[in-house]
Amino acid sequence: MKINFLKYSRFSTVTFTFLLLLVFQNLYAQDETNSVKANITLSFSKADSINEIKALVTHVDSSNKENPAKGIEVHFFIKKSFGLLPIEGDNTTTDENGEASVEFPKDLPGDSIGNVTVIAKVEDNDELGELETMKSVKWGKPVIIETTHPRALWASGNNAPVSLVVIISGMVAGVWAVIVYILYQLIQIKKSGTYEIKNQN
Amino acid sequence: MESVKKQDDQMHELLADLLPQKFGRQGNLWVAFLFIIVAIGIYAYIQQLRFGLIVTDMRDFSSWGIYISNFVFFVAISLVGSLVSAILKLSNVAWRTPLVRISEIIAVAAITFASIIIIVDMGRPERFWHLFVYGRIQSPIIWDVIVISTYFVISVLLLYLPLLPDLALCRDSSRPFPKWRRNLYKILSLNWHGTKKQYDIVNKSIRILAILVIPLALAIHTVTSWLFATTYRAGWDSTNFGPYFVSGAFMVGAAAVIAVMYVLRNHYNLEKYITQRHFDNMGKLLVLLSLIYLYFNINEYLVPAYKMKVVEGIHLDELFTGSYAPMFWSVQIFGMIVPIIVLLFKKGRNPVPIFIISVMVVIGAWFKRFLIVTPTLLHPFIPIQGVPESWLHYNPSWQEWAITSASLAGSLLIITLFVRIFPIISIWEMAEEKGINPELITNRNEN
Repeated sequence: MKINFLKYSRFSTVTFTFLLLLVFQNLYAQDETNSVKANITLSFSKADSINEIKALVTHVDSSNKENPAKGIEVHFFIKKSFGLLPIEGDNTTTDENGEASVEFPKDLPGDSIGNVTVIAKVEDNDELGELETMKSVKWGKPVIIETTHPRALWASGNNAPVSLVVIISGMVAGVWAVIVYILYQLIQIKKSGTYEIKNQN
Repeated sequence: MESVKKQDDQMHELLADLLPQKFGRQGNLWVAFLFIIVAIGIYAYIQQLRFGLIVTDMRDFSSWGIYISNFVFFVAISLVGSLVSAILKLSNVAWRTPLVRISEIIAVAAITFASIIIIVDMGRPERFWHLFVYGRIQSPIIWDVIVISTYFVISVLLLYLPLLPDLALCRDSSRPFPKWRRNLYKILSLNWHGTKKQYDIVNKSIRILAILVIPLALAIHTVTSWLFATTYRAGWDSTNFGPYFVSGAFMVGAAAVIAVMYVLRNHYNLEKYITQRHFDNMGKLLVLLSLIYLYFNINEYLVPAYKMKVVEGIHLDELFTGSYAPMFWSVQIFGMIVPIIVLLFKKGRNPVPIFIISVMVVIGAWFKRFLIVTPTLLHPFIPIQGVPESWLHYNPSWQEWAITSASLAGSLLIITLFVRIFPIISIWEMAEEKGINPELITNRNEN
């Protein structure tokens, strides 16, 4: 049997080269994005009737000094129950002070006391890589879920109507009490039979 | 003295005829056949566990398929236990004695596989226990879980309690039973010695269970019907559904008993015990139940067909003249109308014709459940748009057929193996009917 070694060796060379490239590419990419130490912080300010969210982006230079990062695109979000709500604005790119800002929308629902979680992100930036921060602020409209009929057919299992729980539990308990009684009768049959055997002996 | 000897001879004869017998060649082939079907079903279920419910043809619209049809069918059949053990008992129908155990084992086998098939229908069967822990008591599904498990326990008790004296007869029999079977009889017979106290307890317990099982049997199938009727869907949105299901269940249950009693009578030569009279009486009962079911069918289809609300109209057109029409009319004609006509005549209630009719009723009943489940699901209120072509119809996959067939074979296997190990006709009750002294029934000391 003739084995085509060339075929197998070529295959493995190609695979090896591909893997090598992949590893180097990853290393290079990591090196590129993590070369600068950067930071992002959130602050909130209120002027007149406008609520403003401000993000400050800074980077640390070679002399370990923190400087504002200019021209960085910042994305603002509000955390929802599932997923994020993006907030758009005109000043989302950082200025010479490293600041970007958006206006907090009015009438945005918050939790029961009006808290909302604001998130600011720098995504896939060539110099700073990925940055993210989040902070809570009491700017949302408090949302209180009205529970005028907490116990209902359509509610969760814990809020089933009392009458339904009582009726079903009562019926189940009644029927199962009879079953337990019958099982007890089976024990009595066995006991009675054991007594009979002893008497016969 | 002569009378005692005569009674003793009668008891000997009963034991010779009714104690469990070995399978012949036919019996062994039958068991092997059932095992093969069960094995294929298990293989298909392993595939379903491995790849998920995608191996079935159930999709977003037809989310219930033949598993649920089969479940409803099994629940329906299981009602026969209450019909023969309870309703006929409380009505003092004497001829029911040889049929009681047959109907009870059918009930137990059916309710066992109703429970199994519902787990098969679950995409994540390992989460079955969630039903008990996280279930909402407002949901008819939870009510169904409760009544089915309760009905199962009561059916087992109704099978077991009247079996106790017969288990003692098996235990004390001189037949060369294998050791494991002797031990089984010994354990299960609970030291039965036929004392007055033991008989009193058994008779009282059977009476209590007979009363209890009637509302429970009505509940089990009414709640199963509510799984559909509490949903606002064409074909299901009906206040008629509870009695419609219950009447259909009694009908198919009675037919199942007739079919099984015919096979057992022929195979074990039980002509002395299951007589022409039993077929005649069961035939009359079946025709009565079929007429009641016909009445509910007329209500169920005629009233919506008179009104022809848009969605109901589409659904009924599909059944009467559409793609389900051949199945619908076959089921209605051969599964209900023809049986009623044939069974109204005395000759139609002879063993052979009534057996054929009963098989037709049982097959018709299975397809009837399919017609209740599937066409409705494929006709939602909002028209189906922009979905893959495979969602528009439902043709069960081979895995679904294999698993469903295995469940049917499994229930027949339970009945077959029960008959192999235990007396299928109650020996002690037959002896009592013949007026044999209770002393002669249990204290035989044949060892």
